[in-house]
Amino acid sequence: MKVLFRRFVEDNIDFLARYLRRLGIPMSEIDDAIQEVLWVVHKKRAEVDSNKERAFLVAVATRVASHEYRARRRRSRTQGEFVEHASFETDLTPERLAQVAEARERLQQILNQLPMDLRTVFVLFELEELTAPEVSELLQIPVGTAASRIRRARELFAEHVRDLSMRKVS
Amino acid sequence: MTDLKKLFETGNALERELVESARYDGLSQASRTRHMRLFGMSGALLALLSYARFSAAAVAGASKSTLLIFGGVALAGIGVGTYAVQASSTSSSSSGAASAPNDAPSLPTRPEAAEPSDAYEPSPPATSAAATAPVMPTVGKSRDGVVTKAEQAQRLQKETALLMGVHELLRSGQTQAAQERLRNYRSQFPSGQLRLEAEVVDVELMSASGDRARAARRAKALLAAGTVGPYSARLRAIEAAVNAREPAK
Repeated sequence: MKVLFRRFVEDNIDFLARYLRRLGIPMSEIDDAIQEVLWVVHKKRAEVDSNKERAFLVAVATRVASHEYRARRRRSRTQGEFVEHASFETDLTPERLAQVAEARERLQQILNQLPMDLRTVFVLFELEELTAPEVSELLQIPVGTAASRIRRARELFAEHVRDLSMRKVS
Repeated sequence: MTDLKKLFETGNALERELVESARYDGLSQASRTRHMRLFGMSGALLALLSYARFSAAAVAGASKSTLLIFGGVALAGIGVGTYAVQASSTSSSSSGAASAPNDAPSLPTRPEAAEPSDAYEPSPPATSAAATAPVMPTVGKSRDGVVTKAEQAQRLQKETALLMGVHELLRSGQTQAAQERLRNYRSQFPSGQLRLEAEVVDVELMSASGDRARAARRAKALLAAGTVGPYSARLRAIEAAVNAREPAK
């Protein structure tokens, strides 16, 4: 039986917010993006298999983030890169909070450099800690494709991290 | 092939630090509550949300305005709590609200007939009928003069229907008809629960019908009054759009 949409939102809204953030939606636009995704999902969910609703949510979120990503790239060429310090709720000490915020900003900078197809698998596999079969199911791609994308994403990620550590040393 | 290890197990120190930093990320409680309230609302208000998004985008041109109507509103006889409308005008995103619904990715559909909609299913989206819907009669008080929660909810439903019509007319460029519908709303609901929304729509209508200077003045006055709260971004967007077209001399 189809669960109430409110329950669906409740179960997925934190995941959705994290996913959109990691795909590059800035914190200042996250509420708009969430509404946009949920609105589309709400309208179309009657046409979607109930066991594929989360996959549909991911597909819509990826689509919205891709559009936003392209728009932001266009804007950044004319207005300079947008830098933000996202706020988040945690019980970390202020010192640790500052470290985490810095690490997260670097993480986001690296993620923003990955192509969207690799970024999505990286976010789902490494940050959301899903398995490769779960990633394949959510993205509606074969498991082998998901696994190879994860590997490529990790290679690219490692390259960027190496660059980052070299910059830190120098 | 699928026994990949996670970076937080196999990565170097910096990789682990970066990956783990994402764990502390999450939606703030305030945002979470707002979204949950929105999707706990009635279908009629969600439909109004849709109309408002589209028409606001049309009025503001390239800018995207997104309405977030939230609050403890439940029209199914539950009663009306506080509610507000938040507008946030953001950027020239190509993922504009108006295009998003039609851009939805396709997925296999249900083999069986659609199940009955749940309590949160919104009304069907924009139809031209909304623009020509008959005028709703005013809801009176109950016999003892006390407005019950059910009546209040019914009244809100009617207010919503009227304003949806205004939004739809505005969106389709029928500004005169929209103004007429708005007058109709105000005459029926002079102290309506959505009167603030009506004020903002009125400003949008002025702008859309070419009376931009007046729209800017009204927007400025409403903003100066400090009572528009969550509507402020939407009004600022109108003011900015007008000023951009007609820079101050």
